Amino acid sequence: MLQVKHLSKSYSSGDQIYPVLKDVSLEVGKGEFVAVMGPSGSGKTTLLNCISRFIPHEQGEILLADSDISNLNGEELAEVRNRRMGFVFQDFMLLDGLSVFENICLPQIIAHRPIAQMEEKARNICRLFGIEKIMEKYPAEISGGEKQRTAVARALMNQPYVILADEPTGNLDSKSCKAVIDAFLQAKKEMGATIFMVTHDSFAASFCDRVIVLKDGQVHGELRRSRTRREFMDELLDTIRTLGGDDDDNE
Amino acid sequence: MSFWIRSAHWEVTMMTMSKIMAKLCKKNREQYRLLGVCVFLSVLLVSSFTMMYFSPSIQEFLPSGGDTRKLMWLLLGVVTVGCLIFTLYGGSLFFRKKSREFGVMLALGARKKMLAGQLAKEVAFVVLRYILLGILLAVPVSYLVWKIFQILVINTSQMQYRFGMTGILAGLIFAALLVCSILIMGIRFVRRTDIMDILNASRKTEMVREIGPYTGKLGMVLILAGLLLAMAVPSLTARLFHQGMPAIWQATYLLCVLGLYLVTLSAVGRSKKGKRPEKYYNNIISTNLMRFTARQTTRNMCVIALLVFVMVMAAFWGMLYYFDAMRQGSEALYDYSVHYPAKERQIGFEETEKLAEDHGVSIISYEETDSLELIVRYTGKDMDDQKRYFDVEYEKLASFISASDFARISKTSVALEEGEYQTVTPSGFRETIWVGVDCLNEIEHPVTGECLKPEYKGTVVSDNLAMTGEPFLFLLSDADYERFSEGLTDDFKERHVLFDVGHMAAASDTAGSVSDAAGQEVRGCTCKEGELCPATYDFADAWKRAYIERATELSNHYRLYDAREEELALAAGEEYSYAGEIDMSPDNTQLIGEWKYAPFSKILMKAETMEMVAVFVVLSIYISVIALAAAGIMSYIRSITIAADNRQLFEDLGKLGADDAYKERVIRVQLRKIFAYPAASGCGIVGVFSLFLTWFNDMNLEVFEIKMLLMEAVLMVVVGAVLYGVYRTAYRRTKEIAGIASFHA
Ligand SMILES: Nc1ncnc2c1ncn2[C@@H]1O[C@H](COP(=O)(O)OP(=O)(O)OP(=O)(O)O)[C@@H](O)[C@H]1O
Ligand SMILES: [Mg+2]
Repeated sequence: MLQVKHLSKSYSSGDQIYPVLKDVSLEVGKGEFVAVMGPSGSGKTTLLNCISRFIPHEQGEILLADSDISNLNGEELAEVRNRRMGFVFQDFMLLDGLSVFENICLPQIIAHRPIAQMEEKARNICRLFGIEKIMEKYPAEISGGEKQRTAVARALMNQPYVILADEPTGNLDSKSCKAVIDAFLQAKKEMGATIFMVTHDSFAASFCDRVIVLKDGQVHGELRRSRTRREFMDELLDTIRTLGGDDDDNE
Repeated sequence: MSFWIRSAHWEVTMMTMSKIMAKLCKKNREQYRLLGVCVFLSVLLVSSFTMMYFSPSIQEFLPSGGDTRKLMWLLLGVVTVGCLIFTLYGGSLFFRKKSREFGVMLALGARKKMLAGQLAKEVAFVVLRYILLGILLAVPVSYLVWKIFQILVINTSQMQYRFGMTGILAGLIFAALLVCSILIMGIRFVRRTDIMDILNASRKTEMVREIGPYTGKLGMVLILAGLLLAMAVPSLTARLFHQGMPAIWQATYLLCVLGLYLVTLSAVGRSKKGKRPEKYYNNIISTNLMRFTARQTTRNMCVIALLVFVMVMAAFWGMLYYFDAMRQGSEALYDYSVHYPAKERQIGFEETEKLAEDHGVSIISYEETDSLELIVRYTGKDMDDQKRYFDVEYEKLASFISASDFARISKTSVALEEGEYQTVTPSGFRETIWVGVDCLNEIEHPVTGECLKPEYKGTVVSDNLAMTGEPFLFLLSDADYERFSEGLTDDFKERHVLFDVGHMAAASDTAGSVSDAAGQEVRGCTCKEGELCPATYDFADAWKRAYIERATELSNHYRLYDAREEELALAAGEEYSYAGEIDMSPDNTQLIGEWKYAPFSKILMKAETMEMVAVFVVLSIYISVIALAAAGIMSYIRSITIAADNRQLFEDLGKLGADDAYKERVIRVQLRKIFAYPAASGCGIVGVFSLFLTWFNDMNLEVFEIKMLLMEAVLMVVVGAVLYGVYRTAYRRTKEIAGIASFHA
């Protein structure tokens, strides 16, 4: 479903060039739930932004459902972003001027979908994420976790092929965290959605089918869930610890 | 169970893209309003000025192609650019705020074209509305300004304010320029592709590189060097090498601008610990606040400094012009003087006396003399296309008066031997490069052809006579005068008439009516000092009209017309440029300026220059008011955006334990920089500039000029005071925005 081939990306600041992603290749199958973990600064957000083409990359190909999206023009890209991808930003990126409900509706508004259907769908998602009470509030009036769930809800709105999420559970307590994960799992089950998620949280990652470990801009390894979730989580915690990154634990 | 749970009655609220946009727009009303206000103010300021400047009432008064027009255009240019820049600044703030919304929409797959279209619609709606408002309001504002000035300055005239389409058109052109710049800005905004960049644009820093400790000093040196090069060098080369500098030399002024930029940059961006670490740490927050938007801040402050410069310069120029014009003719010995071809039957003594009687005034002293119009050959200078001066031999007619006639008229004694001449100059005369007072090479009798190579014997002063000669009026010894009169027809003679007038007034009688025997004859009258005496004015006006009425085709020539030159030009088959008849109607406002035989009357001159000067003064003061307004608005907006952008920072400072006093200090240091640096550098530059201007035009400082410079200093104090007022307002508002309780302000 999603293929990244030999992706390289560097930032330049002043005269200096900092390579961030170095020849990253990975593949996510249809209906797969994949997490990317790695120490802070390893390039996870950058990877996600490159895949969504929010930022330009220097080298490599990005294939979504077998078609290369690295050469699409603006129009086509907009279409892809609206219909096939869903995003959850690390810092939410909700529009302050719109209510939670309207924020969630936004992808469908952009696509000019029928209104009644759209609103119904939005309400359902809100209910699912336990944010129906705050639907009419504005981003400035809700908690960090609620913002997070709003952002996830917005990403799910168009039933995309791939959901790209940058730390969707970052600010949530374990119950809300579980709700987000459940939403992903459900989207996966019901719609065959593919989920590609960056996380620090071993608990959240332990629900995934596979975890890609990124270190210093390179794929450092990959863990597949074979046994129980508990065991998988311990395995992840171990890996993270040996990487010397943050040892973030939730249980 | 389905993922999408069906549910009961949802009230249908129509949600469409344009609704969402409208809602966001409403939420960002503040931003739209800021942009709108910027557009409105700049259109109002610029177009109310253009309306006034291009109004027929003013255009008719301005001599065409004069330096004053040039200067007006220059000042208008700077003010326009200033207004444009502060509007663009408002625009950039607008787009910066807008970018997050734009980015999120893009990330969610909105098409750029659609977003851009929507944005264009919204911006156009705001901008066009405020432009319209600005132009509409400019009409009453320019009228009001005119009225105010009419009351304050133009008290003697009945000048009416008339609107011209040109002014409105100029305002529209400015508005179009504004729209284009905002459009370009918008296109650049939309063109960006990096979504992360767009999303983060509203908090992007624009750090400047580390600024060296010498930047500021280098800037000052550049400013001085620029001024010296631009102002001193041309005047020196003209003096020393008879070679002016080409127009491109003006580009050296750019050095000043660069210098100003560096000085400001160092004020904004310097943050070295240096010798006084305690100061560095004290100001660390404010310095960093500024560094956050260093480039923009620097640019803004430079523009403010330039506006301050324009403000002071325009007002200074206006005053200089005013006082200079007021001095003109005031030194003349006779209140009235006139010259005309001897063959013309002009009003003589009797008629003048009759006219005086009719107006309740009396002729006090009356002198008449004839001058000989002889052919002269003299050397002067001219400038070629490359701005090189070169010598030119002129041949034309010039007026000569005998030494004894002159002595009688000017009440001085003159001693001239045969073969000698003296040159008559106005008082306070200083030689120009074009022609020297000792220029005469040869005098020729136009009828007999007899020649004389006269010897130069210095100058004598007579304001009345000096203004009748071109290049000068000369004196000959009585013997030479006698000799050249022989055989000379009246075709080659001019009559000079000079007289004074006294107002007969009783102690209680002020104007108009002829006073009875009790009336005393006094020179001047009981009218207050500085005011025009109505009786004398009426007489002068009637006299002028009578004089113009009598003028025939013998005298209806342009000021620089010369019969000999015309003759030579025609003989050589060339066209004579000063040929042509002048429009002799008394309503021709340019008549006195253009007519070769224009009558001089102190009181009319004063009234007329006052009208004319009033126009200049109005224009330049208005420009300076606009500049000051623009500078004030810009500093104000700058200040409050700093507070708005950093609200979070002030909150955080509070959380870190900073008290309000600390936060206030941060704001104060910040605002002081924004206000003080541009004001100081603008005033500094204008001071040096005007000093150079007055000094290098003749390498000399007159008392009058020193007085003017002192006036300028006073003006700077006024500017400072106004900006201080704006600073206080901005400070209060900034504190409010930053959320600082103001009870102990
Ligand atoms: N816009 C930028 N300009 C320059 N360097 C950047 C930029 N964004 C990120 N970097 C650098 O690139 C590297 C990778 O950043 P990235 O945000 O991808 O890390 P991350 O893995 O998401 O970290 P975290 O887990 O803390 O979110 C970091 O070293 C960061 O300093
Ligand atoms: Mg990250």
